[in-house]
Amino acid sequence: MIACDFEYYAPSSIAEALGTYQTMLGKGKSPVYYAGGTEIITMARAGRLRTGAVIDIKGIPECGVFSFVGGQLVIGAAVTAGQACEANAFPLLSAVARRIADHTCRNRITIGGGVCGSLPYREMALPFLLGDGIAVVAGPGGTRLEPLHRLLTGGATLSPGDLLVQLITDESVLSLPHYAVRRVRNSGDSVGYPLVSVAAVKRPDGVKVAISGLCTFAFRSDEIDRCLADTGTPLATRVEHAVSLVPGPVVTDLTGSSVYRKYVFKQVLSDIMTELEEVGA
Amino acid sequence: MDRTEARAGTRDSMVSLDAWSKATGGAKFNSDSIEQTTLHAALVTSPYAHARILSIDTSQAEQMPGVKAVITCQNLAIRCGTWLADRPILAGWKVRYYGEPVAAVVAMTQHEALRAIEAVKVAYEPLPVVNSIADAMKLGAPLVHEDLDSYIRIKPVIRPRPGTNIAHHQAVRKGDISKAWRECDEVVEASYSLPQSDHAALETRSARVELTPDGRVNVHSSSQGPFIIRKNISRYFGVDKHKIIVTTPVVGGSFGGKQSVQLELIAFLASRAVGGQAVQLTATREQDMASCPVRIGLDAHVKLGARRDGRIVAAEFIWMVDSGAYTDMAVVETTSIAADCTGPYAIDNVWCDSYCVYTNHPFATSFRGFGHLEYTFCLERTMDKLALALGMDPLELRLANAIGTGHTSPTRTPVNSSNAGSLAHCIGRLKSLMNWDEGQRIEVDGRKVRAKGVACMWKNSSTPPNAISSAILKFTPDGSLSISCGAVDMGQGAKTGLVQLLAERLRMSPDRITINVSVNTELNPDHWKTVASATTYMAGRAVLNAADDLLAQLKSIAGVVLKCPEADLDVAEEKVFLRDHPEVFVPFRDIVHGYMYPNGNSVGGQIIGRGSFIMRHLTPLDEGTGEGKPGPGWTVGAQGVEVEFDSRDCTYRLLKAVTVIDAGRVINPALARLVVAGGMSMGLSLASREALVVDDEGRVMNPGFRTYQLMRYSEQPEYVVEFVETPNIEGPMGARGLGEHGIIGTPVALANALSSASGVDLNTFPLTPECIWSRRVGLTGDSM
Repeated sequence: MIACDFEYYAPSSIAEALGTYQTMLGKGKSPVYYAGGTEIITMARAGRLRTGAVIDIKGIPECGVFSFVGGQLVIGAAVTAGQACEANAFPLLSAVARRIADHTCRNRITIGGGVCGSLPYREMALPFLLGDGIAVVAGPGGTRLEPLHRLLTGGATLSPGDLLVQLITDESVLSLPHYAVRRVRNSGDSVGYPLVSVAAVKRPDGVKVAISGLCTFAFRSDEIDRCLADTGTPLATRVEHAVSLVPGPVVTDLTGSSVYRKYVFKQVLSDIMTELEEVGA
Repeated sequence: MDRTEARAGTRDSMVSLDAWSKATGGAKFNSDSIEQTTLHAALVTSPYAHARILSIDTSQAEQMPGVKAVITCQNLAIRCGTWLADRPILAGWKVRYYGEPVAAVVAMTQHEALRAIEAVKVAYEPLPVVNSIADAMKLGAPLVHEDLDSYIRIKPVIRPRPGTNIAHHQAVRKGDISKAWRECDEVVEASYSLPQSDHAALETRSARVELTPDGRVNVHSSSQGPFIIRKNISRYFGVDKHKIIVTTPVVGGSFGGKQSVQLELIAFLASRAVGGQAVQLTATREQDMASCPVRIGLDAHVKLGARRDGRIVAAEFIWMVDSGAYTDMAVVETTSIAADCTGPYAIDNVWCDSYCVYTNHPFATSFRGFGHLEYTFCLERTMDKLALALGMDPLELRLANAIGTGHTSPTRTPVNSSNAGSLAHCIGRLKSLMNWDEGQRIEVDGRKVRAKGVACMWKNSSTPPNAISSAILKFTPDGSLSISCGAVDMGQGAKTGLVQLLAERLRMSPDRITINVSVNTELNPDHWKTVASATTYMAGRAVLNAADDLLAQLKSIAGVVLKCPEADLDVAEEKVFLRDHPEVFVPFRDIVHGYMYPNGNSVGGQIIGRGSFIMRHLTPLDEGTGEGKPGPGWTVGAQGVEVEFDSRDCTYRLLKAVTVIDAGRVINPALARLVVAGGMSMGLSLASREALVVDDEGRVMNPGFRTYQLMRYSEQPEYVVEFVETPNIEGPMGARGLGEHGIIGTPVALANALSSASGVDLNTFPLTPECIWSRRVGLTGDSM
């Protein structure tokens, strides 16, 4: 049970949602946007979230979109991981989403929550990072488009009151050869938090990887991609070098230590490169 | 007769009696049925593992909406425990573990109670944390209990050492150990450290207490020991036992964790604070894992010495049980470990010191296996090391030392085939079921290896020497009947077995027999508590005694009706008939509620059978030597685990888990297999991933299933369970207990398999890939 009392709002438009947010903010209600609710429940139980107003975005038409528009795939923030897997319009997204949590949770967890939730993993963002995904963000100043990687790596931020509405991916990305590997603490388990979760696509200029679990943020790194693309160098050397290019401290937590994470990361990279370098080679 | 025996036979895989209600969601757990008028309590728990409580300010919380009372124990001298009264109901002047209940708020709704706990202001002064057994045993270590010598010793066998963190010590001295070491050709020794973990039962603990105006105390609890709750409330609050009525409905798993009396006492104080109104206190999952008792941790040193032929002649054990902040049942487990310390092996010279040690960890209570899975882990890892040192096959070494008739236990109880079955037979079957002859370690490809590990185990039940169980059998007018007994149903199937035992003894269909699902201490006869794999044994004996009582009464009245001596009568298919003329009979329905003559005159009355059982010839262990008889006998077994290990990343797949147990006599084959396989599954989950993780300040970091993960369905290996049947003459129809035994050797069988697969000596669990990898890297580092 969640001890704090909160008001529930179900706006039917973006403007109404933003307005409700500002009103609630003004009343000191610490409002939160809500779609799946898995994180709100968990954080509130743990005493790490208190809110006086929950704004349900599932009734906003734009947030539920899942369609192709002018050569682009548009996915609403309130689309669930389960829906994305079933539709399978973005095979890499399906491959990543299918490994997150369990079936029951995937029917609640949303793409938006998976991309900008408060847990550090944000695995759902990996396919969009690789596809140069664009985030549609509605805020007090109007609706804007932000490259997703800038939102995730600090180049741009979601301000309080900003609402992630959609993610846009160019259609040409969807058919790229891809591979996703996820490793957790326990043998045989597939549900736990990742030690390392890596998604990869193969583009004409080489394999690109996006990484979660290793640091306190999900990321893509041009330096790592360049290092991996240097096919003149033996794979083992490239992989070893790639680890040194990780753009932040590797975390130690209940899932695993940083040394072990690095060890696993090297294996994962090596498996991905072996798999994808052969494709079309 | 054939038809009846086929249906009634104890070898039938009768469907568990609770199956339908549980499968349809109809079964009601303790917190599933709460009345409108019930108040709700919520706990304020400690954020520190060790701290002085400077003040508790409840004034703000008392003003919150819906709040009826806020209770603390700062002025309450009551301390509780099993052998030693060391635990306050709510923390008094200091807290001794993270999550310890400090205060309780009683409110109209659970929601209001939860909101108000945040308004209870507790000021703490942190104290140095005793964060491991090593910390606790250091000279000059901070004391978890400064006033140990002032505590009431509930059982005289408890031996705390004031001025230290040692709560209890049990020695075992058998044979001439120093002479024995000189006879050894090979000696191996090793140290082990196993962390605490949680019971992780489906249903979290829950209690509801109401004090009625006529002086009765009504308790509803998710407990394995309703009669122990009655005893505790009587002891601590001075209420006569007949006025304490404890009800336990269906329990959603317990695994030893629900025999502690904790929430019931808080709920009692809470109800008393609100004029006796019913108060419900249900642990959240987080509290169930950190505030309520957990499984013991164990640090150990094991030394084994053997002759070249593999005969073990000397064994030395130091066991240090991490009891956490309070002793509860950990102290009894400390003694139980000492009593069975050699495992099922005949060792004539034994030197064992078993300590119960206080730390600032959550306090520990019994857990499936009662200390045996922990010590067996250490012993059976050492057995593998000894086999390696001797160049002997691990199963051959175990067979060479298997205990049997003519040997004695560590506490010098003579062993025979009735009280200990046949380990040798179990080993023989295991060898074949594990396909042992193909080898213990088989390379699959360059990366993967298939490996097997084995272990043997035994377990006696550690019961008080006067533990009792009783049963009442009551006929309905149509000749069907009901069993009333005090054993709790928590999914283990024991009550189904009782119905089968009675059906067999009365030679009637089990479909015509019911048994009470929930237990009520006022209505049902006493049963010590539903623990120690002893329900079939104890309650089974009680039911059979009651059946004999019933048969005597049936024959007595039938003798009158049929005008013949009772000795000429026999009973089957709900009839009493002439032994030599079965066609001359009287049906149960004509006599079980009195017999009416054709003229209306009636004799007899309702036939009610009663039976009781009490443990026989048990004695506590001697302080200096350990000599004594702690339980009625052992169930022995041999177990094995097979894995496929990936040597690159140290991950592994569980392929197969095997247990062969000498069950004496299998009452219900399907349920027996299930309970043993369930034990193995729990053991694999525990050994592969479960541990309570504490940080440097002793705070539990993973109280919840997001981070404390259990094994999932998709990871389950193939389970193979087989039974050997060497009758236990004392047991009901020859049966032995087997509720716990599936878990005991499984963790170490996994560790033995993985040690063999990885080439790394694995002396702890959980055996995560990282654990194996870091041991391997450590070794590589050493050799470089």
